[in-house]
Amino acid sequence: MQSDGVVESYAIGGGIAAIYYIEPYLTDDLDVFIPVSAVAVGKAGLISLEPIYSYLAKFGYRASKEGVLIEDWLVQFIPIFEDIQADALVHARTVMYGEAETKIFSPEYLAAELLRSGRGKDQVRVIALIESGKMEMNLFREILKRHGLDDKWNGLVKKFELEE
Amino acid sequence: MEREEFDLSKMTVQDLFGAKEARRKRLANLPFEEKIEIVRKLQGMSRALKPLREANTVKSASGDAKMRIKTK
Repeated sequence: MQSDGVVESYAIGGGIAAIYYIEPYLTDDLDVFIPVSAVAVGKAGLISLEPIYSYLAKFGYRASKEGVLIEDWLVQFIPIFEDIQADALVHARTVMYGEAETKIFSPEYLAAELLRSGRGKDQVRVIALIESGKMEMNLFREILKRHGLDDKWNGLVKKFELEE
Repeated sequence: MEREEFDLSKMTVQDLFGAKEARRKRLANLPFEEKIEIVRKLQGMSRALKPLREANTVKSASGDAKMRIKTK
C-alpha cells in the first residue's frame, strides 16, 4: 500500500504491537495507524476509508465489521487524530516479520497511547509493557509529560499501586 | 513448545508465581512469528467456542439457563 502511494506511512499499534514486546494473548484484530491524508474527509468532517477499501478490494479483500478481512485477519485502519499517535508513527520501529519489513510502535509510545486510550485492558497492557523490561522509562515519562498524560499516569500508579 | 513438569506437592505459592512469571518471560522472548502463530491458535479456539457462547447468551437472555449455586 505504501509503495502504491495509498498511504504515505503506517505503523502497527494496539494488541499486535503489544504482543511484539510481551507474551502472546488473544486478540482478534490488527490495528494499523495511518495519517489522515490517506482517508477521504467530507465537508461535514466525516471521514471515509473508501480510498483504502477500494484499493484492497482489487486484491479481493472485503470490508468486514469495522475493518477489512486480510488473510483471516481483521485489519482496522485507524486514521490518526491524536498527537501522541502522530508522534508514535514518526518514531515507529522497523521490524521483520518473516522476510517482510513492517513498522510497529515503539514500546514507550505504545504504552503512552494505550494509557491515553485508557480502557481497562489497555491499562493492563501498559503494566505488562513496563514489567517486560523492554521500555526505556525515562523516555516514557518524557513522552507522557510532552503529551499531557501525567494525570492519567498518576491515576494508573495509584490504581494499581505501582512503584514509581 | 516444551512443557515443564512440576511436582505440585513440593511447591509453595511463591514457586507457582515464580513459574508463572518465568513462563510469561519465556513467551515474551519468543520470535514474533511464533507469537503470531500462538495468537492464531487462540483465535481458532475462540472461534470454536463461539457457537457455545452464543447459545449460552440466548439461553441466559430467555431465562432458560439452568444455573444453580449450591450453598450450605
